Amino acid sequence: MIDPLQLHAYVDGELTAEEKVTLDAEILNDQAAQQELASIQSLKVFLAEKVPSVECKSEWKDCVGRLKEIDKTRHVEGIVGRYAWALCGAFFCMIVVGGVARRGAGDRVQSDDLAQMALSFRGSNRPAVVPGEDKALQQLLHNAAISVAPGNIRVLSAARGTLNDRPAVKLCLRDAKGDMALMMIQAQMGFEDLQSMEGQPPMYAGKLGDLNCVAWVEEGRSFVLIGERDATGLHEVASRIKIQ
Amino acid sequence: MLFGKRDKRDAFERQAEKVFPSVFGTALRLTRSREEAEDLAQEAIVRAYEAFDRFDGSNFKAWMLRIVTNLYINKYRQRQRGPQLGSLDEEGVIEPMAAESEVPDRVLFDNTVGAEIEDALSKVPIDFRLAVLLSDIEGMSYQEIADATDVPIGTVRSRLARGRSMLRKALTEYALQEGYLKKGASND
Repeated sequence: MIDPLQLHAYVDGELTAEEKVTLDAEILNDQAAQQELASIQSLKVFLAEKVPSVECKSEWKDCVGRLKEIDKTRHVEGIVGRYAWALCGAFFCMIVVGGVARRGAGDRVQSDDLAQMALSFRGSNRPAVVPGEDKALQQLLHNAAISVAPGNIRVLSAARGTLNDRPAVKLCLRDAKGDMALMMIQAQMGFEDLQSMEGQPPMYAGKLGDLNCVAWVEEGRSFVLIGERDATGLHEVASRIKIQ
Repeated sequence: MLFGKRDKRDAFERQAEKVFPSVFGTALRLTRSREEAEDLAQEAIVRAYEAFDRFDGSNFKAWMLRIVTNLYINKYRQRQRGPQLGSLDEEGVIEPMAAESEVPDRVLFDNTVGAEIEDALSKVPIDFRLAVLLSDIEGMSYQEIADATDVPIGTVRSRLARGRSMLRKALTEYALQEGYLKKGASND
């Protein structure tokens, strides 16, 4: 009895020359094996010839599109991968340089920041000083280490508090042209987008919301004078405010 | 660098385009769903492209069919629930094909058309069908089938013999149903 697996291997060409010769001899004397062999061969030929080919042009196009996408993605990933350290390094350098510049220039504030600071001025719980209470006012001015030149300017009220977490004093002033507010902050600040003006100490002019302002730094403190008048008028008042 | 990649893709596409009908046909006969076959074939192409640097250059078609078969076995078959008919029959006795041939091969094969063959193939359990597909339709050797399906050569031989026998039986049943064969027809 011939092993049927040998017959299949015979048809598939998987036997060695020696095995084939042996099997040929055995098949000659075995009619059932001959029939089986013929049947296997017929089926094999039948499948090879009659199995229909599959239409797959559009599927192949999709595959080609996918391969293109893969290449594009790899290309982008390659660039990012190659220059990732450089990008990170550049970003880090920008942060360091920015930090150093900021440290060198002290606190720099934009006019929007100043307006925000002025609005968010948090006074102490002590009531504002009423005009006429000279002693209290003088004490407050002394603490603020400034005095307003006597003459046409009157101090309406004064209050202490913080601006941007720094100690600050706010004075409400009045002269013949109207009211003003003077903010004094116990820190040296830079004024980013205010215009530089002539004068000593150097002054800067700009807008805080609808109001004009001038700002300057003196003796390690920052001053901002705000009022409903032009920059020249504010500059003139500012020049009359002297630190004691 | 970019040109190198382009050349690589061109080389891959040239070879892959030639064997794609085999890849897609095998995928279709395994999944029996055009949509799934498209996914399977596309994934096989992508995998092959990614591994093209490692292709030894010997038989591209066998390599591609190995990828598509492995993908199917690993991914798609995991989704199938229930017992695998193929594994149940693995150790059974191999029935000789000719013994049941009250049906003459000539009559059977001459009258069978493509769609009927596909139907009959789909009735053969997957492990056996895969062996028949790879051997008789794609012309792979036992060793290549063993590599593709990750089974020993002995198992391939056994599956192939059993698969052919099952396929013939399915074709005969089909022919009897269709009426161009009658029970008890002789081999003459």
